[in-house]
Amino acid sequence: MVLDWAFSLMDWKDFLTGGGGAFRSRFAYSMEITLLVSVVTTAAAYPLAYYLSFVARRRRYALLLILLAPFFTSYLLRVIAWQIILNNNGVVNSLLWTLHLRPHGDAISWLIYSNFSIALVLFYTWIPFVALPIFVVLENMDHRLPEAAADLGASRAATFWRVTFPLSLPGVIAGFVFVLIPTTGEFIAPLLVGGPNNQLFGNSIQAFFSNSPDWNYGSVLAMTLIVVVVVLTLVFGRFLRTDLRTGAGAEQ
Amino acid sequence: VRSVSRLGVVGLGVYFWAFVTFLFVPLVVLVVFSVNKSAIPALPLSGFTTHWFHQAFGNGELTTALIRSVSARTPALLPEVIAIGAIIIAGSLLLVVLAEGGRRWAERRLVGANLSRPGGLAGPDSGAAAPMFATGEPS
Repeated sequence: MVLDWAFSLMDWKDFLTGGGGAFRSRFAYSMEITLLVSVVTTAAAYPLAYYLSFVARRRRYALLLILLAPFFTSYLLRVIAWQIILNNNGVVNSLLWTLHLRPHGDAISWLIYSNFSIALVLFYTWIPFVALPIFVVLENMDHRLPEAAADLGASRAATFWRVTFPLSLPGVIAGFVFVLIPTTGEFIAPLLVGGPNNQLFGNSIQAFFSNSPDWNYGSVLAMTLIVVVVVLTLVFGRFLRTDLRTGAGAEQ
Repeated sequence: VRSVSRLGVVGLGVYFWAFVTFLFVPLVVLVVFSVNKSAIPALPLSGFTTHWFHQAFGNGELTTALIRSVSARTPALLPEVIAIGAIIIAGSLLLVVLAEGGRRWAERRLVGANLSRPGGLAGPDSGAAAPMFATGEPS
């Protein structure tokens, strides 16, 4: 390859194969955290949506509003509130000291500036965005189908796993993607509640554009992220091309 | 509620309300410490005070900023405010008209494609969020 120095692939080379190992490992770490948060959030949101749609039939929109209400406050404010709660002298630790469950001044080390704190805050941030699409799919599902399954002798578990859950998969995947894609570029939560070892890929990008300006390298990282997001969107977009009302396309 | 057992109803209810509690914890924390005497947000609480509110609203710049956020009530800017308001309203109306037209157009197109399918037609009451996912051609 002929390298013209006006057109340089140096930064790409450095990031992909060269001395940018720190960024490569941070990228891998970010993807791990993102995947963990996406899976846990989706799994935790499903029962919420299911409760709204199948149990709280008449009050479901009021309850949905209650579920969404905390998210009408500023995102930054909520992250800072978590900082206050998880801090070494924060609410959780001082509560444990007041109740004499832990010796005074002995803070739980993993509570803040850890994987746990980032994952918790991201989980907290995304849960309504996951519960909502699942709820929409469950709402638009033909509720006669689980009834028919029950009438034909399927147990409740079988009805759920073989009828309701497969039909709700488009919503589950939509929710999963709603977490996956924004989390790959997340930098606020790790900035405020993450330690130096828990900074995500988004923090690297942000740093290259502000603290230690190197727009070339920052662009390389940002482009990488864009490629990843586009690929993820294409992969998961396939599953979203389906009709919600009948759930056609979600069936095997 | 036939598809959920009694135990399931109770379990899901407990889960749901526990989750709502979890979601509101940060907000409750903010409210509680806004009326707490100590400047350090930690337990035990040191007593009720409105000191922080007095301090916040006693700050002239802060209150002006707050008023400016809520209402741009500056007479000199009135024409601009009216102009911006008119643009916003006109823009929203235009968007509504465009969206409605787009919906009708999509419906017209889908009618032909969907007539042969049972339950295939999206009525106007079929949920506002549904079209978001039905991106592809109807399968």
